[in-house]
Amino acid sequence: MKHIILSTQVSAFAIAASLALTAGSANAQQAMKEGALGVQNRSIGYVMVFENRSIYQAKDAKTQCPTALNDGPPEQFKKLYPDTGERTVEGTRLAWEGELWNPSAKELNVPYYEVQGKVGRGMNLDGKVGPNDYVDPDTGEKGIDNQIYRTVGCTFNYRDGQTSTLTPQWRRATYNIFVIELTNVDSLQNDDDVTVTTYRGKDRLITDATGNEYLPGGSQTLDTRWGKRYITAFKGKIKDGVLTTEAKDLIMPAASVYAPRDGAPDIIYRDMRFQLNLTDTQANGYMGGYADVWTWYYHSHKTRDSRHQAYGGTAGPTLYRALMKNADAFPDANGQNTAISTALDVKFVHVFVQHPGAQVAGMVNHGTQSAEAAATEARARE
Amino acid sequence: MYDFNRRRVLRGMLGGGAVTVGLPLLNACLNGNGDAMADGRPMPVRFGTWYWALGIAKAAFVPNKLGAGYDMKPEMEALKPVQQHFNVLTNYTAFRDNAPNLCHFSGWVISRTGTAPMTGGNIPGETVDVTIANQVGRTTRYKMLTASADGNARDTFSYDNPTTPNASEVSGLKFYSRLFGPDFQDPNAPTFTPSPKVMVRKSAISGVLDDVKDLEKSVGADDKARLDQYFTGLRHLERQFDQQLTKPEPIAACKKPGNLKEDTKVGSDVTIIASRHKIITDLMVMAVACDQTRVFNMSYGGNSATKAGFEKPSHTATHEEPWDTTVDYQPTCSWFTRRAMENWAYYVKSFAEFKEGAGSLLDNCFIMANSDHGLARIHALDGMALFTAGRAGGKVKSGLHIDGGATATTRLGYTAMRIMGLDVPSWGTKSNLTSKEIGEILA
Repeated sequence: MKHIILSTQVSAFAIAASLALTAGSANAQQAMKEGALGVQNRSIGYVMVFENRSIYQAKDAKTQCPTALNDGPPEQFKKLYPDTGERTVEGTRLAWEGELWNPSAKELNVPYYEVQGKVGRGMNLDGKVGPNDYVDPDTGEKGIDNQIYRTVGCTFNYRDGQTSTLTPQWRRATYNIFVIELTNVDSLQNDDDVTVTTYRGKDRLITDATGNEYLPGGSQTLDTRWGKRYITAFKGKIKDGVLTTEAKDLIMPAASVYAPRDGAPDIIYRDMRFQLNLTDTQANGYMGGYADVWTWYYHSHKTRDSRHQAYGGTAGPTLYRALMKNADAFPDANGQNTAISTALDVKFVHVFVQHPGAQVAGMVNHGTQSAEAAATEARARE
Repeated sequence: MYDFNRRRVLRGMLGGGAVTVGLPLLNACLNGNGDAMADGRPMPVRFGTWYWALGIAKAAFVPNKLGAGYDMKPEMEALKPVQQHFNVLTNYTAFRDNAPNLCHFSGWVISRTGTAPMTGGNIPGETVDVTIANQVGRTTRYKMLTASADGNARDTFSYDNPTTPNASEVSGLKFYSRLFGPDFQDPNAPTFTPSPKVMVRKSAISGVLDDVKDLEKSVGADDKARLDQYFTGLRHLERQFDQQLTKPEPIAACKKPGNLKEDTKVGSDVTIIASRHKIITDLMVMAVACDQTRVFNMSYGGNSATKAGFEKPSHTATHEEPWDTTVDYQPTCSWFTRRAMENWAYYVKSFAEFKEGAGSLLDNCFIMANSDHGLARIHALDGMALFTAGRAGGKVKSGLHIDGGATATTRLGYTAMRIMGLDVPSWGTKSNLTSKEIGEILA
């Protein structure tokens, strides 16, 4: 009898626990039941829940990186500053830090390996098929522009799939919540004229119990006061459930891996565009454009110092030189390209967008800072 | 036969202060079988914890078989001699819900407090050892003892509240002095002289308590609540002073260790950590055996452990050592885990081999052990391994491998509280809230 009572109690607790477990998604499930998710008032919002650089990984890494994966900071440090006798801090550690934060133009006598082959994922950004472009392994699409893939594809940090994934750590803060709102929407299947507006959100994401999976059905209050620089409106269209947009400059809110906001700069993209498969609850696909080299590089190292970069074999001095070598757009006055083609694998889930006030609509594109101006400012500041 | 009980005392005056002097009970404390007190009450059950950093590698750790007589993978090989004394619990999860995964922090905080921290350094509440100590630790000289082999006093997994850590003892000499120095009252000594210092403190605190009662009459509700909390703390202190002014009951197993001549070495090499762990464990065992505390925390740590000839410390190795696909783990990281398990084996063995009554000290303990992660390389909060050791006075079975089915690590803390006599309906918050004990290990 005692056992029976205990079992009953356990069952009751189990039910309670089960209810507690699903409480976070209860609103979403109820909303789906009532058909509340999806387009309402000709608009729908999504929040980004996954973001990673689009790096194709062949089953056998040797086909892409036949020599080796790249050295990390400890290994490269030893090669750059070998212990041949008397050494100075200035000539070793400080020299390394100097090359890390203020890279010089001098050649470094250490190897750096880039991806070999013609297979790669991403988007055809310039509408052309060039000699450095890739072919998509699944669709066969040619002209894929993704020189960041070429640059970091043989670096463990970007291949691992664990340490390189941007989302899990970055999304723990509310500083870098990235929201898109589709307006003027008649259908999520086919619509030749929609508007996609980007915002920074202010609310935490809804997760499952493990914290690893994000759930649709939450809400996001838009940051239209301090987040103006992240507001950009793209014209787009939907065909067979796939959203594509025009290309525009975009500043994405970013945060450090190890601290919500420790000075890591936002990443600035030139000619960014979306290509997303839409459903009532999700929007998954690519964002593609040209990353401003300096802010991309600088963000990478501000958010992960040499110790943490060593986890993924990312050595800044050679990485910066490779990025500059492979940069393929937006040349400066000296003809040096300042941006590099890239694609992001992205996933969004549906959220109910909360506009803070009626004046919000008028704020779009008012008071925002251009990506070019932001990039110039970032270089000058650092 | 004389009518002995554990609190029978002589009352008298000494140095102008009232003192109570316990009668010598020695073996008369125990019943004829040596498994209970002479008056029939059970032997006191003590609660302990043990911590190691950086989790496990599943392929090298998790046994294939469940239940008794399970197989031991390489990371557990050192535990073979004590297999009958502990349970290994695998496949448990520290749920973080919408809280971030704070590396090397969320996992142990969830397992010890029941709640996922929202920010680094944020301890959501008291740890399970404190909850238990508040229940069972008020009649001993120390409510609880906390020590670490890592060499860092801040390396503690015990918190009274979000802002009050219980600092670890890291020095063997200091720990010895604290436990067995001038204030140690040998329970088996023929004479008992109450410490005048404690008497003065007791007297002072009694005066303060009277003042607090008077003050309560003239303050508002909020301040009264604060004074109540203060008063409760002082009462606890007063009871501990009372304990120190009472002749301890003789404990046959309690023997003051010989003086330590050298302090524990400084360093992070695994051999040095192991030497510190051994010295502090030996002292901890005797402190428990001498009933100086009934709640004890020990951390092996190992997060910064180093290996001679290997340039990276253990934590760095988890992130930088390549994955060996032939064995499905990182060999050097697994080497560090094996060293941690050797120390866990020593800890268990030390309690198991210490005689108490008809059995061992471990028979009257319940020790739980946990880590910060499952697979540390990716800061996993699933696939986490836990241990229990001891029989808790016959309430717990040992020698078993249990698969937790990805349920909450908090089930262990909840089980510990129930075993230690806390009548709590549940423990933890959000997805870590549990009212489900680990029933497989209960006798």
